[in-house]
Amino acid sequence: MATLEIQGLTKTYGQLKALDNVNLTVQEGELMAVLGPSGSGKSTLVRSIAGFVAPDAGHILLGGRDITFERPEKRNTAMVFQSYALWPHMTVLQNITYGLKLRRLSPEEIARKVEWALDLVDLSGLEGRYPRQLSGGQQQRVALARALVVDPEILLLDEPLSNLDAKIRYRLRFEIKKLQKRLNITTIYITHDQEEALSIADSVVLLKDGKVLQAGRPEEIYSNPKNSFVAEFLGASNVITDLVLQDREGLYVMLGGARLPVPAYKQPGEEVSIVIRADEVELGGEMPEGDHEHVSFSGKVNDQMYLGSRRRYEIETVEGHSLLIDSDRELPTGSVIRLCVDRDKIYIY
Amino acid sequence: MTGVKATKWWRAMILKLVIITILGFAIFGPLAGTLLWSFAIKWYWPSALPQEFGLKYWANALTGRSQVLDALWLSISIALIVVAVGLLVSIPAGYALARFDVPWKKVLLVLFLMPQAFPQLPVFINMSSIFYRLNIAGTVAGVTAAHLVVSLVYSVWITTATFKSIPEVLEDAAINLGASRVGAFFKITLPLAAPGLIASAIFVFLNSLDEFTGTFFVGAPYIQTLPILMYTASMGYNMQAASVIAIMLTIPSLVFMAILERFLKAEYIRGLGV
Ligand SMILES: Nc1ncnc2c1ncn2[C@@H]1O[C@H](COP(=O)(O)OP(=O)(O)OP(=O)(O)O)[C@@H](O)[C@H]1O
Ligand SMILES: [Mg+2]
Repeated sequence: MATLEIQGLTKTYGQLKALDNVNLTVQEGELMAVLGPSGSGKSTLVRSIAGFVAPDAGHILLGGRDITFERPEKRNTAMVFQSYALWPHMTVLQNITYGLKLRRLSPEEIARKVEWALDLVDLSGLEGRYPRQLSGGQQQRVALARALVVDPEILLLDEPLSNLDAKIRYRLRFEIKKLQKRLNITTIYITHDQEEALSIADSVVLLKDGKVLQAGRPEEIYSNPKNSFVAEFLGASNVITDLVLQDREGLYVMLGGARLPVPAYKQPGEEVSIVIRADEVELGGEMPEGDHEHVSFSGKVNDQMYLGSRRRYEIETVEGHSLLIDSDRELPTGSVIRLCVDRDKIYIY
Repeated sequence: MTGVKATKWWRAMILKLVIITILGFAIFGPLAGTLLWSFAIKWYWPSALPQEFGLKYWANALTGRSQVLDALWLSISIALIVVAVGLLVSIPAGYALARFDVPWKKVLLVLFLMPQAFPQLPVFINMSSIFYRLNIAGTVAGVTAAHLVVSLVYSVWITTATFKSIPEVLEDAAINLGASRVGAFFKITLPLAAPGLIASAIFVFLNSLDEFTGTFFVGAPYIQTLPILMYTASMGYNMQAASVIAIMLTIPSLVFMAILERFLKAEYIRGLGV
């Protein structure tokens, strides 16, 4: 268990910057989720921590020790690959035992640790099976056991659940989290699923084009996205672009007849993004007089979709923007309604 | 409904039987003829069966200081050397071609294929003239080299494809847990490549055992392998001797298959897609 520090890590492939001056710190026992779209450099980041990618610049410190140029087999990191990378010619037991044998432990100790690991991931009884005789979820747990049994200083998970269907993914996500807390192991968890990242991480890093766009606690990054990309990536379904207007009182943009102030760094006539989350708007709500906490605007119900626990409405504003809003209220299509949203929940970039 | 199914089933069954019968005749017809010939003393045309049966030619081939047995051992020895050298070359070459950015990779692979692109005869005639200059014509080394040139093409290609089909991430996983690159190769990659390597070795072995043209041009008249001996016998209209040799040539293949079947785990055979 150790703190991981990454300083100015850069990796280029020809013209392409897979990692661009990445700085990160993962505290001891912390689970950091690295979130980003495909090709953003997530795998390159963990592969350089594991030692499979040689960075062009920067340093990687694990527990204070500089491992930037250490050979991968000497680093004591443990990686769980997206494809699990279980060895198909070995049984579950042989897969899990391999790392321990390389460490030249005594047979008794190996047996003890293997039992501990099998118990940890709830795989006892399956030790004699070959990987192809296991379900996807079981294979995933074997990969986890194989990684944890060697007592690594850091656990690297590269999209560990992306090959599983939604239900198992949902369950395993919490199992991994519980395990990680129980063992208090420093962990990097790569995913491109924002919900997964927010729900299990102690801290979240958002990567794009090899750059860290934003890092912080999940609540922090969710409620204060730095730009429209982060906001959209964290699940905001409405990103509206319009032009900045100006009057005596300053810069503004119109939404549903309401006036929204625009940050001062913008120019009049410039494009501005308004970001609103589908579940943070109240439909049909009337705002009390003199309320400055909320913004009220109007729109017309264009279409709707029944989602079980709620309905998703497509609302058109007078400016011609269309918004997706989730609500449990029932409203007829075609009706004109008022919408009400917390001022803090409208992001303008 | 069931009636339709039944007729379909019958049709499929009959089709299968017809195909199996045709295949059986195609494979075993010539073999049966050869087998009959090897036990014949007299067989004059147009009789359907030999007039006189006997073990004379088998006895000739298998007892005493027999030319046939000498040729058999020579053939097997050459084939084994070709397999060994072939594996020693094609495993590192195939691994390097599959895993690393070898410069001129495509050119190299095409160069390897070159001898195969031309008709065999001119290739071997050229080879024999080169081998004469190198003083290895008419020697076991020369014949082995000729066989290697032919079989390396296949074995390097098969080996490269085999290593390519094994995901590199499996090696990464081993290295990540503390294995050296070499350790990961021997413990992970090699066992997984075994079916492909064995397939290529069988191919090379049988190919060398049967090889005629190269042996003839490079080795004659000093190197008498089984196929050369068979050729000589059949040229002298000694069909019985030629048939005995032909059957002996098929025996190593059968033995090889039987041994393989015993030693290969079921998974490996499944890995071959059989
Ligand atoms: N060996 C390589 N050679 C050249 N380019 C590479 C190499 N490995 C990665 N890249 C490039 O670097 C960029 C980052 O790749 P990386 O695999 O880290 O992305 P990722 O965030 O893991 O994406 P995904 O979510 O699809 O797994 C991509 O544009 C990729 O094409
Ligand atoms: Mg990736």
